Amino acid sequence: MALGIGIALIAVTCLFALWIVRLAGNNVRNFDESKHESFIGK
Amino acid sequence: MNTQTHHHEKDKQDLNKFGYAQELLRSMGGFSNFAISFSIISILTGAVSLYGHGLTYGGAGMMGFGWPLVALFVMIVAASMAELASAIPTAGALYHWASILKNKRWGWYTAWINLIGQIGIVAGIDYSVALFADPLLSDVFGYSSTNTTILICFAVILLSHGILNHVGIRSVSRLNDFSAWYHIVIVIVLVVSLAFFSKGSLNSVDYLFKVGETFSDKPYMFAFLIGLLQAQWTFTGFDASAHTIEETVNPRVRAPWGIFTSVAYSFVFGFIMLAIVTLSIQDAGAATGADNAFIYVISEALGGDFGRVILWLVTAAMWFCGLSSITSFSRMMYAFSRDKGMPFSKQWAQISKKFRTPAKAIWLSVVLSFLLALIDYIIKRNNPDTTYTTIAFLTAVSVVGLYVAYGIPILLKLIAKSQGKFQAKHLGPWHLGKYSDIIGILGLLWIVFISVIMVIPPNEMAGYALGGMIIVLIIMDFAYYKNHFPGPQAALGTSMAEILRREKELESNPSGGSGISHNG
Repeated sequence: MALGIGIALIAVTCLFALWIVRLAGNNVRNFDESKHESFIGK
Repeated sequence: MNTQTHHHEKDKQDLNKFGYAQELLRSMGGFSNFAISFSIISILTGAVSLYGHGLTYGGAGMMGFGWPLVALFVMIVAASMAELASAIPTAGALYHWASILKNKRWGWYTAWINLIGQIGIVAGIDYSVALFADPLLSDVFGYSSTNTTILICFAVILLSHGILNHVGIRSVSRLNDFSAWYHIVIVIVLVVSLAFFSKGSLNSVDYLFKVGETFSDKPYMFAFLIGLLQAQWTFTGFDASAHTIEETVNPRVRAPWGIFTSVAYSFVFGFIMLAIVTLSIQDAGAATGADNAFIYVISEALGGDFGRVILWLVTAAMWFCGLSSITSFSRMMYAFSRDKGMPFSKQWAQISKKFRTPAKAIWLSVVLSFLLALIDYIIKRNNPDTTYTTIAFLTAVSVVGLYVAYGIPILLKLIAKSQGKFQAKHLGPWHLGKYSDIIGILGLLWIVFISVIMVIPPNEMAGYALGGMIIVLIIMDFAYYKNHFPGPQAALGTSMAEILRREKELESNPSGGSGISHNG
């Protein structure tokens, strides 16, 4: 039981990391510099 | 214009928009930016030096459950920070983000809380090196390792890091790159050695997920939570990728990747290492009763001489970790002083013309880290019956200080977004899209949770120390800085002519002279 939960936890952690890499990677590729504005708090 | 030159010019223009000149040498690539955070996280420092702590409180299950659990939530925090680094690429990072997202006073408190955490992390890392190096040296030179010899060893290690950081970002950057590979190679050597020499006596995989066994006097669930300090402290310092952002080429993409991937890779390699070490334990009770559980387990599994060689290799990895942590600490202090947030700011914001490094900030980092350990040494010398360990004290201070500082800008970004101030157009290339808010909220919940866990007994001394420091900060704020701290916003008023003058001054005099300081 504990072994199964532990392996599931490790799998979730790995899948989360891969999901973020994919999500952010796509956003970097599709970034449109012309729509960007520096946030300087004004 | 080649790609590299184009990036340099674009990066400089991005920095100039915030009112800052390009003073630090921008020479770090993507791997170097990743390497500095990976080296500070240093699975061979945190996970190893607090291995006994984790095993004592959470038993073998601490490695099977505690490590991935903490890693999951730290990746959530790191993803939110990476998004901010991409949007606001300045060396002040956390405090600069807080200043811009809310106001200068939020930034001022964030900076100081971050500084407290940074002092704790540098002291904790170099003290870990001393804890491993001193007993090994005592074997070689035939003296007895005591708290005094450990403190001397600690001072020498800090000194070596101060000198190397002073001499230049290029050499430190090369050592950081080497350190990242070194960490991976040593983990592989450790895993292969333990698997080969212990193959007949390795525990079954079930042992790694064994829960309910603690070697402390606390109930298991409570003990397990205390034991999380091992993993939580290991996963600190990844803000270094943001602190070196003004030295990184194409930082709006490379720094966020450095922040996130340094945590992700540390999780993977750290888990592999902890799993094999834990599976090779023959007597967990004896290991937790030894002076250093990790040294005990390795010596039992690999034998005397070979075990000592492995321990020397691990100690060297810790040394690299300390080197990187001073780089990060000094850059943060440089950026904060550049905005006049500290006493004698003008001094700490000086850049060595010869080496293009914040030399005085580097040496202040060294002195403050030494003082923290020295105070603890004096307390223990006067009260020999104290039950907490120095390493647990230093690490708890750094975990709470750093994670609270990580959490403040994440919170302020959520607030600024809800008020419509921070919009999609302000995001950098590296962002989380529609998942940004939920990831930020989950990260904040984790930070609140671990900040409480890290200062409950037996680590209450860390809580008292942090509480005392916060009181001092409030006094400093109301006595002076409330009305006199200009904040990063003041830099926005710097004319482009002045920015270019500072850049030209550094470029025209690459050698000689002690430094350049910020005027007015």
